[in-house]
Amino acid sequence: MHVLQALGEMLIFPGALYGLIISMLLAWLDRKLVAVMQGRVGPPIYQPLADTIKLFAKEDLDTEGVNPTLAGLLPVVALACTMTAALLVPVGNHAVISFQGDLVIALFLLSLPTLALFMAGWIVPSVYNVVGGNRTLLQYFAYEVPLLLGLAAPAAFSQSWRITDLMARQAGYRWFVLGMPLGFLVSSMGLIGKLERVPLDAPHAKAEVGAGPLTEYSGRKLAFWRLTSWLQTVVGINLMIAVYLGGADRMWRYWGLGTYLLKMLAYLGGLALVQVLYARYRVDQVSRISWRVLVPLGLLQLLVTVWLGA
Amino acid sequence: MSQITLPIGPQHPLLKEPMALRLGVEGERVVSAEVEIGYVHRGIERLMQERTYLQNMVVVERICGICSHAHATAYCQAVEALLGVAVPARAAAIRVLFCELERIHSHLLWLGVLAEAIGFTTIFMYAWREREHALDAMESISGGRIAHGANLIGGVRADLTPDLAIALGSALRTIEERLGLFDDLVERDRSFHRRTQGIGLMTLDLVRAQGVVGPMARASGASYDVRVDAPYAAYSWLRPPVPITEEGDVWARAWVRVREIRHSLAICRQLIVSLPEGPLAERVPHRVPAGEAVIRIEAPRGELLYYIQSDNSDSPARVKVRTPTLPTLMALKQVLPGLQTGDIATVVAGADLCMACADR
Amino acid sequence: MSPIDQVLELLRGQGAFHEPFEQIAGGDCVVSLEPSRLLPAIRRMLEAYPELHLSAMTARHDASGLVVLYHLWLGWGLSLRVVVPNETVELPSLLDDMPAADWYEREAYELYGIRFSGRQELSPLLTSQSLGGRPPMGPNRGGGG
Repeated sequence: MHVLQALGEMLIFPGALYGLIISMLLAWLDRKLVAVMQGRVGPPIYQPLADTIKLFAKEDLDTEGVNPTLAGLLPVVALACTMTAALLVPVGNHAVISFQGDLVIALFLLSLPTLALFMAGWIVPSVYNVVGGNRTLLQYFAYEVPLLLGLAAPAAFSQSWRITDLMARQAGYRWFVLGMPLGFLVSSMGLIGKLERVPLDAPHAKAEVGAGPLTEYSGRKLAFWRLTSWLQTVVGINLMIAVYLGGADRMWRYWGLGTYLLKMLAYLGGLALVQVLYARYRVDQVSRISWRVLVPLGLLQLLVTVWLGA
Repeated sequence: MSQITLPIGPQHPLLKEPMALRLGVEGERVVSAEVEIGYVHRGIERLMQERTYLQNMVVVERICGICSHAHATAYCQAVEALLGVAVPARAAAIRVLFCELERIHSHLLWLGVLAEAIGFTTIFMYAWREREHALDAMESISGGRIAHGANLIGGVRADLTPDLAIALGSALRTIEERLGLFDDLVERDRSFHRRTQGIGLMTLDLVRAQGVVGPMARASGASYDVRVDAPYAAYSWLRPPVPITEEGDVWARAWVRVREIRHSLAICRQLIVSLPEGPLAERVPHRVPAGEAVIRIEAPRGELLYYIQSDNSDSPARVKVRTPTLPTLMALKQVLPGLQTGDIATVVAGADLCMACADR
Repeated sequence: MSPIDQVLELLRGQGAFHEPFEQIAGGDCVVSLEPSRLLPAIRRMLEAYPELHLSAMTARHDASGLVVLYHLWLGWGLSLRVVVPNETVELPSLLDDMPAADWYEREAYELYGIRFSGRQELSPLLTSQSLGGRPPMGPNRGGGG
């Protein structure tokens, strides 16, 4: 029974199947929100699913000069890491696996897909792939640090590295975003950099490097990379909700679910708004903003939190 | 640091039309640039020698989709000069109306393309949405959004009736209201400034040496605008202000063009109010006498020159078209080295290149 | 002296003229020069008018051979006409004094076969390298009739 329940949670809800469905739904919602803000109509709700199906049906080219085993393995590893991280991050108020230190493990698991993406670009002998891959790596260094610092502040305050503990500490509407807004902003920017969304999408700036590290990819491999990106968005949002926005506030059972969904939509709306309002940062500006603004602010938040808590 | 060649084109998401840039890049810096054109060379000048003057009206409009009326106007003026015919005042005014509407739509197109190149998709969507009003206006008057067929040799084919004038007025008002957004973008938006100020500097010396014309030149301090320096058609009594600035970067080019849109809107409004009465076209002789003509007009991108040599036959003996993008491309070869790779897109999109014009 | 007269004096001083200048349709003045006098005339004009603007170069052919017109703008339009009697005669390249002439010279060479001396290899601007053969627009032109 225990095993069946575990398998059910891992594979169906809130694990793999639910993860894929919700990531496609959020991918659609993201595009729809951006479209409406830009005065357009936007795609129909089945668009991400249709895109995925189409990609699976397309020819998966073995690009010349690329190690096919590696090229096929990297997207699978990336998706697997993201799905594993999804098990650690609470959906609503329940995480499939929870233990002391799972925040760090989740972040570690979420950083592996970025490294895999860099490698995916690096192994293809094409200028756009290599340059895009280099930019992904640059951005990786620039944005993991703010993300970590931003999430370290609530952890320091709660004196725990367990995500469900952080959620529990915020019960009764004492959301950490209210007490540590700087950390929220810093880690949100880190998340935007990690997800390579505008204004931090230099690694796959269409006008400059084509599709960046994924330029020569097609078919099934590209589908896996897309799914990874969408799932990372969902997991990232869930993480931010759990750590900063109080998770699913346990008032009544259904009320909790409602607030959780509202928070997810609100955060996604915030991401879409940022995408619509700004031009892309140039890749050197990306680094500069990170090291000169975000990291100091993150450190400041951490220090203030520790000092206040002591 | 080893040098790699970054090929941009002939097909690239950045380019609207095919051309080849071969950039030598070290790390994130461009060290050398080669510019190759000719991917849409259609032999237009040769073709025009095989067609009659009347048939060439159709050819000339299709040299470029964005500035088709500019080509048509320059060609007609050249033929009319050879014929010794003066177009009626109403025709001259309607030609200018189309010229200015074309300038508006061309500059909005450019703004959208630049915004897309720097990742500001929202501005791309907004600019092209406003552009639709200008295109719809031209369609309602002439029947075509781009290849209007508005000109005849001797005048214009399409008239601005009172109904159309009212509709045009409201379209112009809509564009003008929303133009405030683009003013804000250029003056106040810091993410736009971050990507365009100080980028792609073109000095006045380079402009003079390479013969750069149009808004590209005016953004670097050169004051040449054919509408003012050699007025033609209705520009002899319309006096468009010419915005000039000196920074010479991509931001300056945006500044100049947004201002020009505003001035063009004012000219269109002035034309609606004070459109001269009279016939739409002058009867012209059937045969163009032998001779040569040189005509310059101000297309949206700058000075457009047409030279026609006639040998008293049905077809021109020689038609030469010099489009304003050509000197810009020549200058680009010198502007690109020294750029960061992230700025290549900004500078190339910001140069308002029209390869169909350049290649002919 | 009107601006036109000043320039004509300047050009006469170069010993340039073939005949009195003519004014053509559109208002430009056309002055004919010997090929050997072209470069000194341009240099002299650049000294007097540093903002001299080369709008275009037209190559064409007629009974007198290949003709190249340099369309200049000095606040008014002036075209310098140079006749190249046969394909062996080379015109001086303006590249050093007016870099704007670069692509126009390449196009004149490519379409009409006119050669310019004093500059590096003239590579085709618009047509493919593999076109070869006779220039597509010269008097003995290749391609369709």
